Amino acid sequence: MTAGIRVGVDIGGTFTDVVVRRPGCAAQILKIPTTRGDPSMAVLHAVEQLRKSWDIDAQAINSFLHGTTVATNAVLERKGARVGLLSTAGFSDVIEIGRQMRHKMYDLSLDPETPVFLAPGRFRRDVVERIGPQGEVLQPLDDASVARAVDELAAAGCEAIAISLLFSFLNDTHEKRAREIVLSRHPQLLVSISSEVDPAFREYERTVVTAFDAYIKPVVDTYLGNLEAGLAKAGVTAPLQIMQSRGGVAGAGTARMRPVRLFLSGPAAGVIGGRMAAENSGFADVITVDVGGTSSDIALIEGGRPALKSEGTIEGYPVRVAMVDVNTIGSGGGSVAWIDKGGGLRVGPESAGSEPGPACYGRGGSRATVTDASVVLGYINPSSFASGAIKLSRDLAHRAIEETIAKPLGLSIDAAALGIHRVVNAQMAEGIRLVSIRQGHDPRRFALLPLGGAGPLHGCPLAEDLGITRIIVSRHPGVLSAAGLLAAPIEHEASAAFPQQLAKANQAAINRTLAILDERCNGLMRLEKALTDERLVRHFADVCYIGQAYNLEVAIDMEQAGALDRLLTDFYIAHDRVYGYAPKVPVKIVNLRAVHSVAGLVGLDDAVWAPSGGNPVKRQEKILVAGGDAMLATIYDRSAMPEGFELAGPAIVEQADTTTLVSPGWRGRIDAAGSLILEKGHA
Amino acid sequence: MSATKPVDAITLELIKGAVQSARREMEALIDRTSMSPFIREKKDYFTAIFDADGQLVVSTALTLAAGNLIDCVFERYPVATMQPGDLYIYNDSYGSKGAVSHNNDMVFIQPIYAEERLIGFTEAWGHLWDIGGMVPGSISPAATDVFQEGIVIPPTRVLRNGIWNDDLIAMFMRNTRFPTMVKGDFSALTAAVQLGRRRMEEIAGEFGASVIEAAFSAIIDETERATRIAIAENIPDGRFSFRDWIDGDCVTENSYSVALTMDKHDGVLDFDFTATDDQAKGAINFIMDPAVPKGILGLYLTSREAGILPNAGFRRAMGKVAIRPGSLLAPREPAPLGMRSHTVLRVNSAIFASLAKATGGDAAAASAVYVLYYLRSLHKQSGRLDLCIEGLAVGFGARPFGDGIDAVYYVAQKNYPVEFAEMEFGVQIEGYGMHCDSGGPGRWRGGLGITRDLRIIADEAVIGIRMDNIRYPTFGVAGGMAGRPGRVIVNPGRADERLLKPLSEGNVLKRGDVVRIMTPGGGGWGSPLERPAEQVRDDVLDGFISAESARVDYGVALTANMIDIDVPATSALRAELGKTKRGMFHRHGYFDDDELPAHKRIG
Repeated sequence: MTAGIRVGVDIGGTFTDVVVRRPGCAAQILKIPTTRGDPSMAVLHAVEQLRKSWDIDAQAINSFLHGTTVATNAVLERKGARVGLLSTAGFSDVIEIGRQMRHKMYDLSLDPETPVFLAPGRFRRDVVERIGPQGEVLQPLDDASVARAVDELAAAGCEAIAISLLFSFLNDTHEKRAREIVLSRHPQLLVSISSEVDPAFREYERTVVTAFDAYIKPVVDTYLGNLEAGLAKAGVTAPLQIMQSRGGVAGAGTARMRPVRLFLSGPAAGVIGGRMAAENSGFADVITVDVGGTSSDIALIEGGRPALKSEGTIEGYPVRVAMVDVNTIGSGGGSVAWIDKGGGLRVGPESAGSEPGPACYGRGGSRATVTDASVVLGYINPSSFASGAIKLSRDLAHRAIEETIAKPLGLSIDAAALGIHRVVNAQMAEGIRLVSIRQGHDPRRFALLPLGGAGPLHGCPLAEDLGITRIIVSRHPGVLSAAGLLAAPIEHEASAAFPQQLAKANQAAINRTLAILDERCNGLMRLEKALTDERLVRHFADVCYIGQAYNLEVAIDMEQAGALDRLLTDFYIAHDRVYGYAPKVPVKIVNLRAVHSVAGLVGLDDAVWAPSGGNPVKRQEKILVAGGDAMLATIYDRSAMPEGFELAGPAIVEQADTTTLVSPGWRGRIDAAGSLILEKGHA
Repeated sequence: MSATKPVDAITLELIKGAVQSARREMEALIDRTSMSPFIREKKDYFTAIFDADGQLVVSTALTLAAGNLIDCVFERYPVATMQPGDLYIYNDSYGSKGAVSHNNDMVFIQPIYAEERLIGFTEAWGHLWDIGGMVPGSISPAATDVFQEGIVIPPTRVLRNGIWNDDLIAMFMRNTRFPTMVKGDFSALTAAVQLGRRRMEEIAGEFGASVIEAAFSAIIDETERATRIAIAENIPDGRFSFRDWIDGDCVTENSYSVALTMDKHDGVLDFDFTATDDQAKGAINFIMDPAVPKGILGLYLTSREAGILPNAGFRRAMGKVAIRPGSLLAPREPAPLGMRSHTVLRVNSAIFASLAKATGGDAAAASAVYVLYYLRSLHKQSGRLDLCIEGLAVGFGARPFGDGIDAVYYVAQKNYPVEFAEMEFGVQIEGYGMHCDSGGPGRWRGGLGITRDLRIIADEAVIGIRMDNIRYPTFGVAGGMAGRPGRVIVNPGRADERLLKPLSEGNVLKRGDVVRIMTPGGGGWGSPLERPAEQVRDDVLDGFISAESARVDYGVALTANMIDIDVPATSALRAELGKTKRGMFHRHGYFDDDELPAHKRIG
């Protein structure tokens, strides 16, 4: 990996975080307001700021990395392209019917559970062709039917075309030919074909992910295009690289070609940042909890590798591309506490957001939020919140909790505030169980790594709930996402359907397919101008029992003797871990996959931790912790804590980007990496 | 309303979250490890947690299963005889008094112990692919006797002290045509109740057994309280009656009716189903647990309340349920049960129609019952027999605030992907789309059914079909019109085109035949003349309704380009159609009967 100046830019709802790393220097951090209208403006502002604040010349920047929510927002705000969808004749309603599923029978929601908005009936067309279940051509593609369909769709104003034909995952010739026809007649259209976006079985899921790809393609294309042009104008010569949902970065050019891989671009950066911070402190198995204002993102890292899932969702719609297994729950610092008809205390998913924000912000919010409870409990210092950027009102926090929660439930204000924390912590703990216990991992084996401005307030209670005994509070938990961008590997992945019983699988055929996939990755890597000799090449097979519906991804190394026997054994082990049983019956391969990566930075800070030199102990104050009584806690200044500094709970550790609660019974120590390591029980 | 020791609001919320999560974990396990397409792809299963008295605390939101799943186990195995680690199974519809209502649903139950006492049960059932009986898949429209529908296991303990009753399980597996698949599902369901039980034990370990007991009763109380409030706020005092119809039972030419009088008085809501027809010879009989109608109404009334769980609180919040022994809803053994969902849907629509009467139309229009086909294909050379049982989506009734849901399978079950069906079932699918015009016209349009075209590629095939709502389409409400029926056509557009009876068994097909199944839509709500013309136009453009229906039913005319609304023609049409008097209900014309009408069969 080239040395030099690396810049990571993570755009959040309120702030854009910029992290800069120069060899031998501690990371530098910049927070600038997010420009809502055109987020790329904030990136350009960042370049400007780098020059002003740190005298960094644009041309000296070696890599420029970016995590973006533009793909996600295009869907949430319905600002994607007008998409035309081409399907096998007789099957244009597949996206409408979906899996004929309704999760709630009497739901008041009027929206269908299928993403029909991507391509309503008037923008869907049949093309005449048919491929059979062995990949055989039952009916050749009728070119004229494609020409007619796309002419109509272009005339109707479609900006992008999604093509999803039956069994294209076994035979992609018709989809490729259809794309040629589309582009030859209407070169301005952006096209996504299902055999490239997601070459796997199940036509509805494949069609949806392909339509999503087409839907966001023009938006992402414009956004990244503007950004690249802007960076060039600002004198940045380094290539722009974008975080993908799997947790690896890719050049902007590749990201524009396959934008559906960007839905988790933002959260993935946080996971990678967490991985890096954990690694620096010598932890390979961690659970990260990124607590934001409206939601929290939870992920699991085992053996230094973030857990992946092969299918995610956006707004409940299936998105079948591999992504970091981030479980997003609707609980965050701004989540509103309320009482349901049954008289139960509930928190979220409604959030006070940044406007009006929690009651204590004094911007007109009157409903109690988690942040208000944190103020009442004495965890957050109203005068130094976010480095004093927002002055919080203790009175308003008290009043909101009294009026909306304490009085109706007949509780004291303190008990109500504790209750809000207990409920929200239980929700987060439940979110952690989902990525750990339900995937067969015992959370007690893991360290907890809280991040986001509000994360470290919840670390101790969450760890106690789950039986976790170690917590890592990194140097800058509040900007770990931006830092994660710098640590991510460049990664490319290609997969192909390979439906075959494992017992009958032909080694040569597997090798042939993997070679094709490797070549595809090579092509993408060449675009990155990445140094090939440092590349890590891994192969995987999606495997399931014959007759079963879900695959598990298992690593496969064809160069080892007995590779297929090993694959079978590894599948049984994985199945037993995840599902608790593994009968020794035949299995089949579903897909093959190649993943090529060039490692990112190992550590963000090779500079030693440099404390400010002041007194780490600020004062003592009363706080409330679970169990009830008020306790005297020591308030510490994180920036003044030298390596080896030790403390014991109850304590509050304050720093510019976050506040850490150290519960009674926990002890903390600053390690060589500058992280605060909390341990339960013993010193 | 009798929580012994109250639980504070915060602890209650924590336990509620934990218990729901335990149940969801059970569901996730079944979802991912089951083997048969019914469970794996179609999601035909149910999970629940009960208290120590067998009262439902949390479950899948499925009204059909709101019954007393544990009571029949208590009858054979009193609580004192139960031990930690026991596992009980049954699939006995008659023996369980309708806790399950057809015998393919196999129930798995484990008691939960904490602090050395019984605190509840975890339960899961799944629809097993085949349990023997007269046809592969066990359910046949041609059945006339429950013993033709497969082997019956009464409540039986199959696991104690870690030792399985292998003999019984071997005997059961010997009676299914697809033992590998059924064994796989058996394992998945067994693992699920065990997982749920372990999770519940952990939760009890954290909070204490007595707190869990108090929380269970508070969770049920909450539902009861919210339901009572909803009834008081939504349903006036009075008697509200409706009679709805099932087309037939396959083995006779008769139609059958479900009749309901809902009686609200002094804060009590009673259901009287005694005017329902006698039990059927065919398999549409439905052993209705009295909890079922309460569950249907309760789920609907509390659907707007976050945090209210469907459970025994529904049962407590409502009064008597009168059912006449020997009727369609309380058949005598051995009447067959396989197609009881045809009757379940009419119980639903009778309840909603009565509610519409009570509220001046504030209830959903009727929904169609899902469609199933059973295709048995024989490949002569290999001797291989393929069984394809597929549930097809239909349209739901329109709601007072929105269109009916298009293309949905009533009990929220998934379809088979076309690519899956073709790889597994030896059939070729030639088309899969929305059934245009099938939704009942209305201010809110009824949901659409679908069409699915199958080409037979085996040497020989026999198809059984279950489709209802043809003689008696789904009724519309508050001026909305009835949904349009479905049909089944062999070789459409060819010289040998023929219609199949919609509820029939044993239809012989040959290689190359195409079967087109078009499923019915749901009823509409409100006058179609009040649907904004732009919405009608969009429905035409998107293929939900034809230009013809836009004109004839909605009074909306399009110009020659078929894109723009012809405003003057539309005004004229709507003025003309506005002369028709519209009633509360619509099916074969509008009607508003106030009393329970006598039997008036069609056909």
